[in-house]
Amino acid sequence: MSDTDNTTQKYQFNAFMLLFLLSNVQIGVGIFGFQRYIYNESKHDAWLSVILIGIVTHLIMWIMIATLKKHESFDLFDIHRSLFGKWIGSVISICLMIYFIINMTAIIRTYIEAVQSWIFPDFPTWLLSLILLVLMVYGSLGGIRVILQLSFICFFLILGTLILFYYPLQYAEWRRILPIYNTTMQHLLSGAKKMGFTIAGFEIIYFVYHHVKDKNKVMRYAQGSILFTNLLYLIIMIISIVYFSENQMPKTIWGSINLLKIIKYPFLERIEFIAIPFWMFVVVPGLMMLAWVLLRGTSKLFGWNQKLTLYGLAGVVFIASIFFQNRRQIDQLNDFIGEFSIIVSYLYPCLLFVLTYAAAWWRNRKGSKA
Amino acid sequence: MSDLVETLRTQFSSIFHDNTTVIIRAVAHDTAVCYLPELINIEQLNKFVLTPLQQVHWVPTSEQLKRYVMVGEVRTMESIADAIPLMMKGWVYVATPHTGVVVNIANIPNRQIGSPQNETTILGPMLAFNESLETNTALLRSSIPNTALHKEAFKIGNKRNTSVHLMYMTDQVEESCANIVRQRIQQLYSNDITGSSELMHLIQDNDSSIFPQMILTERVDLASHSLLEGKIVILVDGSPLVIIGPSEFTDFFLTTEDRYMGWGIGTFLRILRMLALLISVYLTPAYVAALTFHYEIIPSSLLVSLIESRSRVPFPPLFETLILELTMELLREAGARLPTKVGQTMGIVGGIVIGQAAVQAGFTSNILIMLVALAALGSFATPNYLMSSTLRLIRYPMVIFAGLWGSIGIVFFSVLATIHLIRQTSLGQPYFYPIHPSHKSSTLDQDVLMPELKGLTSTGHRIRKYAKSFRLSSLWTGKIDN
Amino acid sequence: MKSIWKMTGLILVSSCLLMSCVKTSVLEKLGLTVAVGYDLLQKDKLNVTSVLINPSVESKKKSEIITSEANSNKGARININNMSSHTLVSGQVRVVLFDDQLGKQGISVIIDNLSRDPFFGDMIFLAISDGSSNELLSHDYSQIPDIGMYLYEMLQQHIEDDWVPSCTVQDYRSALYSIGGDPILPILHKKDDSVEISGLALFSDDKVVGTIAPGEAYLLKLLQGKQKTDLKEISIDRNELHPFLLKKREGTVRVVISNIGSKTRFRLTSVQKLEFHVNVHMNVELQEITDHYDFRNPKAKTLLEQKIGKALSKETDRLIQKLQRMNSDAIGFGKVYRSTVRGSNLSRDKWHGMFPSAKIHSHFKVNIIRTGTTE
Repeated sequence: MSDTDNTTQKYQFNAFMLLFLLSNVQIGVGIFGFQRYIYNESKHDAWLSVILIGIVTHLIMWIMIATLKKHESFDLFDIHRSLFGKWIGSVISICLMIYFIINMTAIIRTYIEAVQSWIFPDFPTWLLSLILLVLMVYGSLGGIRVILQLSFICFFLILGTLILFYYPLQYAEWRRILPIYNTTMQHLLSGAKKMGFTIAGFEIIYFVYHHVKDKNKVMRYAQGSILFTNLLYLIIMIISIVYFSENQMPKTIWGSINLLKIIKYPFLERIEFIAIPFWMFVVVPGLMMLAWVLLRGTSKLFGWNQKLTLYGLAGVVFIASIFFQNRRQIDQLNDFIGEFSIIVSYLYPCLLFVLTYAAAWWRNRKGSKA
Repeated sequence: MSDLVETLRTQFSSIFHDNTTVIIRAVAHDTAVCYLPELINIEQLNKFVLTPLQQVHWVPTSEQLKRYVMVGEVRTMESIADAIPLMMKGWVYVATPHTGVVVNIANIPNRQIGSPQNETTILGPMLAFNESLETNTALLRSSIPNTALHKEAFKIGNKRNTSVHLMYMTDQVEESCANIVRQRIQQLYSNDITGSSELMHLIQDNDSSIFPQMILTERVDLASHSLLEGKIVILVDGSPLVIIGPSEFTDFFLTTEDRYMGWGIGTFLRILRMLALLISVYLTPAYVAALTFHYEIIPSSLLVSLIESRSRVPFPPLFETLILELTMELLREAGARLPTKVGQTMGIVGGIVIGQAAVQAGFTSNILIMLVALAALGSFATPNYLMSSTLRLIRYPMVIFAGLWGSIGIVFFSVLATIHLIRQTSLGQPYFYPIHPSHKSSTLDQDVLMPELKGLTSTGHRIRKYAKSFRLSSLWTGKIDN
Repeated sequence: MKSIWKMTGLILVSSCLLMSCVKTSVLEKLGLTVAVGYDLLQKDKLNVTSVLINPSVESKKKSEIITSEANSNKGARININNMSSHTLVSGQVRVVLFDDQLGKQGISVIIDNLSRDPFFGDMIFLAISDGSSNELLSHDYSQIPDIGMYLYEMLQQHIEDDWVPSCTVQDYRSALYSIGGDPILPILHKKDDSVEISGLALFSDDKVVGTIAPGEAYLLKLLQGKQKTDLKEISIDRNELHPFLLKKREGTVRVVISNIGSKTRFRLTSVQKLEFHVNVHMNVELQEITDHYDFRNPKAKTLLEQKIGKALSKETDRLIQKLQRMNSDAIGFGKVYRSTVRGSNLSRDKWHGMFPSAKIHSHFKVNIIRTGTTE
């Protein structure tokens, strides 16, 4: 039984929920093994790289919200249209959507890779992909409410996982972090750049912004969410630096999982066999959020039926995800996404910001002349 | 005079198809009383109806009849057809050639108000609803003597014509919920229902979900608490259970006793019940997953004893667990169907004998027997019977998925169930929300009773706040929102 | 109509899901390896001994031994698998032994391969066996029903509250792949019908270069400063303590102390001369002294503290010289160097070139906080 009263009104949520939503979209599979990519660049100062990209992310978030404020209740698809016109705007939007599809594929494939290399070497790729997509479709059918609630649960799951990282600290050698800043700025920056795949995802603020009820509080909670993510990455990075020795880190593909490997309880050993499956709770809302953005895009640009598009999308991602055969290809995919996400999440917002203000200035001048 | 009796007799016998159901007796001057003898109080009939009517020596009008009959409830009835539904409930029809009145001197067999049989508590009032709608309404009214307590009456079904009462506090209730209930009950005019549990299934938001979306209770204190929280209570004639809605998932794990216990013990009990929920859902699947796929997670101290107990079992862990779970369920079901005394004996004998023999025969491992018993215990700790049955039911797919895909299967089903719960609504209100999308005030107050929150503000308060800030939308219609 | 489609879709998806089976590893069908021993035979051949849990309840012997020769670790596993009625798995391995010959040749390749396999934990204990590990594992001990578990529990207990430093795979790899630092592993020795931990094997990179006795190992663990240590016996010349000794005689006094809490600090005092200072601050409880000592005099305690400290630092200096001679930096002076000198660009090879010529001084400051319940 369902009620059909006031269906016209849009679903809006409190800015407070952004706290959980943004960090949940950011934290996904990247966290499994981001350490070594950064370590390869900036060695034991890798944590400085994490701080660096964190600060930049805060700045970019400020820029994004400032842009959105200027456009009032638009989302990114509308902004494209108003800034670049119908055709170019649509092309840019489509490029963005393709990026999101690839991103979804990368998330799914990386998660599968983690499961296969740690728990079930012979778990069929297509099956796990199907499991994730079934969950994604079922959740997405419930709308953004489900995503919000699920991301709230995940927030506590992530906090709980963070407690587990206390155990590796018993093996920590704090001297490994010294001397602080023993590398060059250039290395720090290229290390920060490697965080791309791991930290990306906060650009969804472009799409959820106009669903937020109290827009004046968005800045506070969005920055808070990013702060949480940054702190999480920083803590894991520091723990990894003091736990793994200098030549051990570059050999470690799944740094965070390796950290969990030493945990032992009297009733349970080898926590990673439980932690990796449970991470599905964190991965699924991220996928659902991307799917939600894609559905909004397609219905806005082409007016497609959302349900059918969702099924189609799941099909496309399914086929794309079983297309990847080995670890090298997945790494290449993640590298590509990493590079591209730097463009999408860091450079492009700056461009939009400049264009938005330039356009506003232009209009103002025109107005005052006339 | 006998004309009147004759006409009445022919009329009644054409309706009832016999002459014995209704007794028709001529009284005094052109007046007759008709009644179903099983349903009325004969003494009152003599004293308050027949005696005064003897003194009437003319053909009375209905106004005069009303004045003579010394009973509180008297109504004028123009035709027999109108009077029959009331006569079926124990009213007496007093007829004259021109008019008629019905008089309520019903004596319907009824149970005394008793103490709760199924939802027992140690502290707190010992008052339970019974099968009479009037008594139940009276119980609620007396427990909340306030003018804000509002009652709406409905009739459902074209054969049984069951009375249904909708009660809520006008100053507390969320109006949209009341509207939904009203609307849904009115759509049910042709359904004949036998009890409140049937009605609950007919009016709940999603009947294909196995999770109960509204609470059924026999406890008066729970119902009145819920009323004060702004919930709606639905009473059905002939049913000792009332429906409380809208309810949240966590409401099913609370008892009124938590409040009587004080916040410390109350909180402990609630946490314990949540723990019981986790144990009852995850324990046996974890056993299956660990023994079928993840032998690595078994600590050294358990390893040897697990291997030894498993070494003689001929079945794979999945099969073994399913057999034992079903046996457990069988024991429960058989115990519930048998008379109380026999049922208890059978439970003990069955449990011990079957358990002991199964282990000795190498049929199952003794560790699993312990786990299955623990899981059953966990599900029985849930105060709500419907919810505890649901928990036992969802354990089966969980076990099967655990046997198929190990920990991945368990998590898959957990995520699926979580999404399902989030998607559900109860009377248009969200059913499972760990946090309110609308406001950020303490979300723990209903799961964990904090000292300052032990009052009566928990879920109902939140529901109102939630609904007011939203006036909900396309979400609950199942569409992907925009 | 719509619901029919929905049902069909649901049934299709679920049957699809249900039909796909994943390879199971049911507990009782597995040969659970608890301990593995590697011995070096001639010509690069390995002799691998696996200790499996024996699942049958009736048999008194709780473990089953399978031995195989092979060229590689996995090759041995294949061979062993052929010999067992169960599928061999490595997820429950708890102890891995290497014989001393293999230790001298280098064991990092084997350990790297162990940690490549996700089913091997990081908390597996590694140890060097004095003599053939096959002999140690396959001997039929009258007191020990399950040698694998026994070794695991023995090592665990000694690591938790005795002189054995933690020797898990993580510890080993962490030391081996650190810049400036070498691993150490305990040595297990089969003594007739029992097993004992006879000392520590010192490594230079992944090769065993020498051994130290338990007494020295105590100091080593103290200097590493990570774990708790327990009792230590110290001999002090009688003449040095004579003001407070009640009887005057020649010889030594033996003092047994237990460490309650210690703090170790390393300082690189001179980069050019490569000079280190090790300061250890110990709070101890006096457990035993082999003579009558006048504790009532406050000066007596101070003197004893000084003498214990002196004896300990003398012993430590000797240990460090031994390490330098073998070029095994088990304490991790290289790490101190790397973390204090900016832009040192230290590498393992570079440090192995520098370490033997380093000047290292140790100072102990002992604080006797208690002399038991009597004075």
